Amino acid sequence: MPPAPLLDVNNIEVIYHPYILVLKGISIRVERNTITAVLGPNGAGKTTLLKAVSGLVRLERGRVTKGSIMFDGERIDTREPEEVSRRGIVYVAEGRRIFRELTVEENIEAVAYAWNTDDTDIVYKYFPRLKAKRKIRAGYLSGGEQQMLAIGLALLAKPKLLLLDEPSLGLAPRAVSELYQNITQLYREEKLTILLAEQNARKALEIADYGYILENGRIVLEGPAEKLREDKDVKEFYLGGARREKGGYRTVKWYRRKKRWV
Amino acid sequence: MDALSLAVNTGFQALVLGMIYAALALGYNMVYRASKAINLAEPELVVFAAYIAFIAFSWYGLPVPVSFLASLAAGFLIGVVLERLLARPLRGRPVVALMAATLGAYYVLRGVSMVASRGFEMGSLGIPEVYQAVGPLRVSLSDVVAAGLSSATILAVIMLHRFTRLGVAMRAVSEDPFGATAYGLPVRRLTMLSWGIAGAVSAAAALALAVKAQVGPTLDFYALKALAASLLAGLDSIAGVVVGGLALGFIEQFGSLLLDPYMPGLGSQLAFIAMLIVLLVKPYGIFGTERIERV
Ligand SMILES: Nc1ncnc2c1ncn2[C@@H]1O[C@H](COP(=O)(O)OP(=O)(O)OP(=O)(O)O)[C@@H](O)[C@H]1O
Ligand SMILES: [Mg+2]
Repeated sequence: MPPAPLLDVNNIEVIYHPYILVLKGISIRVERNTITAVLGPNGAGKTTLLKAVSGLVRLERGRVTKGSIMFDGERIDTREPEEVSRRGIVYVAEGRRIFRELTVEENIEAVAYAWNTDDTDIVYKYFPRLKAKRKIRAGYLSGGEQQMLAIGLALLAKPKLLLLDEPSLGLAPRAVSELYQNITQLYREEKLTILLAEQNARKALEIADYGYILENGRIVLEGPAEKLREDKDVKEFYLGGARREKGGYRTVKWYRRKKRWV
Repeated sequence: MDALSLAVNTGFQALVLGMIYAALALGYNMVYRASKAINLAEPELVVFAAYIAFIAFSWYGLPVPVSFLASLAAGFLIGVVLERLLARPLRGRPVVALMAATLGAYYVLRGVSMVASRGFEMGSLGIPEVYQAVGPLRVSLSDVVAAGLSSATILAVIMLHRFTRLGVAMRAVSEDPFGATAYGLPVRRLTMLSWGIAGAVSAAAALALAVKAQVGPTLDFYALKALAASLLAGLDSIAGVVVGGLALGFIEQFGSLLLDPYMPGLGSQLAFIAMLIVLLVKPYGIFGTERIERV
């Protein structure tokens, strides 16, 4: 038998209060020391999946109603989010959710308090640009810097599993490239395991080892990243290849609705 | 008294009272920032805390500082219990539910303090009546104790929030409990601690108040006025509640000085009139940040 993956999501269903079924039987595996990408359009359920893994769905009146989530050999879908994060799962939310009223330094202090660590330099090590801004309120940072801070804060936890939710969202192409370089670097040097949700399939598949494509609460395709990059449908609908005017594939609909594309 | 010394002494009393109001308002502020609700139990918590000090001092003969510490500890404990029993189970529900629950706690505390005090009405906390004249100003020991206690309390909370990791973490939790949970902050523990500190702050303010105004069941009225002051300034900013408390002290003292000859008692109602006007014009208070209430 192959060794158990770090994260094993087994056929889960997630319902938001009262009866909004968002994830309809999803299974994913994340192996140690890899980057796993979850791709898909708006509303596919990527965020919900990451929140289910971190237990945070509970704070939004959501629950895992079927299946199970195993982390490091233990069942976590029945746990409170605070316990899940204690086990080393840190969720970096979409939309650069840092503490805007606090300065950069205070953001770091607050999270350092949680993990009782004095090694706060790790944030500046990977994101040296933040050092000059340490006394500035985080709400006044540029979008790219806010995302750097959001990821940097997670490093303070020395996470066993880092959940990144659309780090590229709302950033200019150049900022996205810089950020992805940062992510690759810290992934290598810190020997992290990352579960990455993205709409920006091209960027995500550049750095990922394995990928899942999520549509409407279901996984429609999965495979090693290099396979997905070559896949005809993925190229067409997710990597901005040849556009089809009238496609039978239902993804075409959302493809047109999308605001930004790779 | 001539006009100058009248003005100086009224100003000084306004300052002392204003600091007490500010400390009382800080109690509301801390609970508001932790749970986005107004703690309607605070007025009775104030009475309760004053009674604890009084009972410790005059019935059990404990030294004044010890009786004060007992009162602070009781305040902290009540805050913690309120969080555990009310705020935590009601988390994620409309804030009105939590406010209604704190109103319930108000009556429970009221009942307990009525029984515990065995119907006694007034008492003093054992601060000797000594005065010192400084030019035209008359300063009593109780002025010094009251102002010292309330300003030290406010200062301590500000330092906690500014200069300690714990305090910064508490601010992070109050800004975004979801994000704080995602980053592994012990949100429930910190929320409980905020309520506990709010309780201790209210107790410190209660002691300051009791030193100035004697212990009695009507101390809750001051805490209610302090609520007006903190709404006036905007509940979510510490600077706001301090300014609001001081403003209330001045409005009330000078209002009484000028208006009471015409309409006795009007001065002490000015707080509510001022609050009404401010809330009509600026619903989030003068310093408050506009935000959508979490439901
Ligand atoms: N708290 C909630 N209550 C009810 N429904 C929700 C809640 N959060 C999300 N949903 C619904 O669940 C579906 C999936 O949302 P989710 O945020 O997981 O998608 P996503 O793939 O992350 O999309 P995006 O790329 O836009 O971030 C959406 O239809 C959304 O409306
Ligand atoms: Mg999302």
